[in-house]
Amino acid sequence: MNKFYLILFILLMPSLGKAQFDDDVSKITLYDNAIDMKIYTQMVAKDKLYLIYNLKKEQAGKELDYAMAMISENLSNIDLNEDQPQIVEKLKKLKDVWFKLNNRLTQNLTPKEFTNLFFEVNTFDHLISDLVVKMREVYNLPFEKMEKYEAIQKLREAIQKINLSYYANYLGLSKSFQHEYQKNIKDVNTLIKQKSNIFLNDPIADKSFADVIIDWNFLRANLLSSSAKNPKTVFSLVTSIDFKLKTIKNAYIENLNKDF
Amino acid sequence: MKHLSIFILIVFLSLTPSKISAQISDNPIDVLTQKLLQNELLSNRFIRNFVFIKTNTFKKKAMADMDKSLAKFDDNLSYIILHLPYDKKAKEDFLKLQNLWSIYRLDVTDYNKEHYKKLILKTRKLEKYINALNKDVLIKHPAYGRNKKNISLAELAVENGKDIDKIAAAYVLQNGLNFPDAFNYFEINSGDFNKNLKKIGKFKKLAGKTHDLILDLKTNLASIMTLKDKGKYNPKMMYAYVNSYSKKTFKLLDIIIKTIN
Repeated sequence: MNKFYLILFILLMPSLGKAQFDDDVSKITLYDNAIDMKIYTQMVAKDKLYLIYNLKKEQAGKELDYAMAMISENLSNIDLNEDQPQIVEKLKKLKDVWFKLNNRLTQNLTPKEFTNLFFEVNTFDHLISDLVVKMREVYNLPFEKMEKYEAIQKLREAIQKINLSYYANYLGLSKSFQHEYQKNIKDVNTLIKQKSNIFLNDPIADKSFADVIIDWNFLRANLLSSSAKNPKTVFSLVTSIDFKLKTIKNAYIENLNKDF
Repeated sequence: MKHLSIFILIVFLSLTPSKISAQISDNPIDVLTQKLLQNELLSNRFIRNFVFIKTNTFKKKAMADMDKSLAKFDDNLSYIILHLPYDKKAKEDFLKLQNLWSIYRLDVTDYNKEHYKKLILKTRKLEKYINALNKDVLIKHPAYGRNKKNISLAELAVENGKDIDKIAAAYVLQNGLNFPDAFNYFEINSGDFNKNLKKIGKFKKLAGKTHDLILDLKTNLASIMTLKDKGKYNPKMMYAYVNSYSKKTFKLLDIIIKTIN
C-alpha cells in the first residue's frame, strides 16, 4: 500500500512542481497592472518635467525611478502570464514603444525635448488604453463589482494629469495644457463630490478617503488661488493623495481577488 | 551445479535487459534533462532573490519567488534522486548534492546575516557541482546521443539565465549593499549572451517557436546592460528586467526540452 502511494507521488510530482512554480496570476491582477501603468505613465512625464527644471529633484528622481520600474514590472507580468493572441498582439507594440520611451526617460533632456517626450508618453498611454479595452473584451471580470475600484483609479490618473498640466502651464510650455488642466480639475471635483458618500460609508475606504478629501480641498485651493500657486506644494499634495488612493485601491484588489 | 549456473545465467539474462529498459523508460531523457537543467538555472536565482530581499526591493515579490524557487529545487532534486537507479555513482553524488543543498538552503534564507562573500562562494560551489553532475548524468543516458544538439542548446539558455542572475546580484551587492567589486567575485561570461541566443534561434527544430521569445530576451538584455553600465542605481528596475529575463529563459528552456525525445 505504501509503495502504491510512493508511485502515485512520483507520478504526480512533476505536475505538482509545475503548478507551484509557474506564475498563476489572476486576470484581475493583470487588469490592475494595466490600469496602474496608465497612472505611472502620467507620473513619469510629470517627474521628468520637474527634473528638467530642477524642482523637487530628489523626490521627482526617486518617483521617476519607481514609476519606470513599476511600468517595466507590470508590463512583464502581463507579458509572462498572457498568451491570448489578441492581448499578445497589443503587448508587442506596447513593449516596443516602452523600450524607446524608457531609454528617453533616462537621458538628460532639454525643455524643448520635453515636448517630443510628451508625444511619446501620449502614444504609450493610448496603447495602454487599447490594451485595457481589449482586456475588458476578453476577460470575464466582475465589472459590476469593480465600480469603486475603477473610480479610485480614475481619480489617481486625473490627479497626476492635474500635476503635469498644472506645472507645464505654470512654465508656459503649451496652451494645450491649459484645457487639459481645467478639464481634470473639473473631473476630479465631480468624481469626489459624486462618490464621497459611497467611499466614506465603505469600511475599506472611509478613513483614507476622508484624508483624500482634506488633501484635495487644500490642493484645489492652491490650484485656484492665483497667489498661492506653488509647484512644490502641488507635487507634495499629489504624492500624498496618490499614496492614500493607492492604499484604498490595493485593498479593493485584494478583496476582488478573494471573491473572484 | 552446472545446471544451477545455467539456470541463474538464464534468469539473469532474461531479467536484466527488461529491468534496465524499465528503469530507462521510467526515466525519459526529456523529463530528466528538464529537472537537471532547471535546477542549474535556479542555482543563482537564490542569491539574486536574497540581495533584493536584503535591500527591500520588491521584497514581497522577491520572497514569493524565493519560496517558489526553493520548492522547485527541492522537487526536482527529489525526482532526480528517485529516478537514477541505473547509475549508483550518480545517485551517490546526488545525495552529496542534497547535503550541500540543505546547508546552502539555510544560508541563503538567513536574511539577518550580511554574509555576502560566503554566500557568493557557496553559490559558485553549488553551481559548479550541479553543472558537473548534470553533464555526467546526461552523457550516460542511452538517449543522449540522438539529443546531443538539443541538450547543448538548452545548456546555452541555462548559461545565459545564470549569468543574468549573477549580474543582478552583483549590481545590487555593489551599489546597494556596500560590497565593492562584487562583479569580480562572480564568474560571468557576459560576451556570449547574444551569440548563445543566435545559436538557439538558428536550430531548425525550433523554427518559428522561439522567434518572439528570443527577440524579447535580446531587448531585455540590452536594458539590463544599459542599467548596469550607465551608473545610475535603480534596483527596482533591475528586479523588473531580471525577473522577466529569468522567467522567459524558463519558457525558452521548456520549448527546447519539448524537442528532446
